[in-house]
Amino acid sequence: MRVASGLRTEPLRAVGPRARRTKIHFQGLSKSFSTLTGRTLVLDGIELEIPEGEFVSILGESGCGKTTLLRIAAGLIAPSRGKVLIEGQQISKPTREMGFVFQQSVLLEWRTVMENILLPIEIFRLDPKDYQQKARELLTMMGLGHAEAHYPIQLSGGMQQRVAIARALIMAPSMLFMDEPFGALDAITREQMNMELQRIWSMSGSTALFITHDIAEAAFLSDRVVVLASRPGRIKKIFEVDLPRPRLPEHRFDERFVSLCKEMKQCMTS
Amino acid sequence: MTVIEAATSAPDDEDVVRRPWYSTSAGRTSLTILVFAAVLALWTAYVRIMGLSPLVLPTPYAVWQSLVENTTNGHLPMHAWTTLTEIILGFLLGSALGIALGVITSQSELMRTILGPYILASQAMPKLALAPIMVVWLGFGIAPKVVITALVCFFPLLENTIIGLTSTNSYQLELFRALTAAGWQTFLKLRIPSALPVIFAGLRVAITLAVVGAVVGEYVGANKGLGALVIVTQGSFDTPLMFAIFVYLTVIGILLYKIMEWLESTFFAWRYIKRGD
Repeated sequence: MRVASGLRTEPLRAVGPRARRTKIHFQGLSKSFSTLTGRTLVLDGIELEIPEGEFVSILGESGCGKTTLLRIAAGLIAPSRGKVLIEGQQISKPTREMGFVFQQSVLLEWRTVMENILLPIEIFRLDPKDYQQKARELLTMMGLGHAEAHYPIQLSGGMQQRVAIARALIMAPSMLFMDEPFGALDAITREQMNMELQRIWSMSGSTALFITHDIAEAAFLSDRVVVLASRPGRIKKIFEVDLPRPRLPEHRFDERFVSLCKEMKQCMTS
Repeated sequence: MTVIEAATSAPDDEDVVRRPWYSTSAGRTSLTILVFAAVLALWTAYVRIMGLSPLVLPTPYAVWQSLVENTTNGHLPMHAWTTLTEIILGFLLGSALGIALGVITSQSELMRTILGPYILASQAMPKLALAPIMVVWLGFGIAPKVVITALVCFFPLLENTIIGLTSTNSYQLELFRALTAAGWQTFLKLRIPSALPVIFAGLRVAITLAVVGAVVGEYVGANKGLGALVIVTQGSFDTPLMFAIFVYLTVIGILLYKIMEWLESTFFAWRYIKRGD
């Protein structure tokens, strides 16, 4: 992998048995915003290839541009320089192949859980009836089988975020974009959600881009962790997480896991 | 999460026992009746002690007699019907136009720029002051009252519709963009539903103003309606009947408001669900 400074880290190992073609490709991506004091460079020279089916986390402190990177990847905003290729095609706006989970659950408070999950179906002008069964399966999988007729206000933060994940998965997207989806949750709920996300993702086969500032979360979920430097956001280092899957909560105490987290921590603070 | 705690914790029996008598439903009703009776008694005592003429202030009993007499002979209901018709027609017309123009205005910056100053000016202008010219233009029938009422209802709806439609949550807007929603889908499935509570608040204000609009319209020139009847009783010194009309107007106002409230609570059932239910 090419690092922004031009140095090379270890060559990319074949991570899985699947034949990996590149799904998402960032090419020389830069982004600057105009502010009161002039233009601020937020992202600088991002080069990254994400193979199909891989789970990649972008790890960095707040304000390092990681959310901007995700929004560019999804075509929600345009880069200042460089481009994003998805399966070789440059993108300029979101596609139906993408599922999103944001920092907040962003549920529509006037819709029930079921109606919220079926929102993408309605927007794609498909028949919601054909997807009700699938929505129920997703809900059951996330322990919300009882809640389909509830309104978001009746659910806890963790439950709301589960509904948001179900909504992202209802169309079985080939790409999952997640922007600190568990940032607002307490540590215990967060670990549970990590387990559930791992299970759901491994069944879906989708390519996942996950934004977080939590080192352990990144290490637990990812095939690779991209550490971003701050101001401007540059790729500092890319870590391979070659721990076996499925990963279990107790693996968080394994020596390899802990030492990997330490390395990432050092990389972030150096 | 707190939700689960609230759902699983045992009901606090002691709390129920210690509720004061006036917070039970029977207690509340008897308290209301008691206070109302006391007010009527004080009112009567005041009239008697001061020796006031019924032309100035009739006793509650005199008002009641007039109310019953003029209700049973159909006098008050007939006028009330006219006023109610004006209120409802004016309310529907004014609200519909306010919402329609609000929707159009919220869609385009150009429209907002063009209409902005006029909207502000016409909001500052007291609409009731236009009643005389409406009589000149439209005569003494119900038309001028409907127009005045519509004018009064128009602005709260215009303003609330614009506010509601332009203050959509930015995260939800981004979600719709991420879902590749077309403009009309975002409008129908996001902007309208999230504006509805604000629009309903406008309707609640408008229905109260509508009663004022219709009655003042009738003051200016009418031969029918409760407002016209007030002017007649003023001329004929029938103060008890005037008070009976006030009772009618109050009841109409409360009923219309309650209907709006009921519509709102059925429409937004989700807002009335308790957390952890």
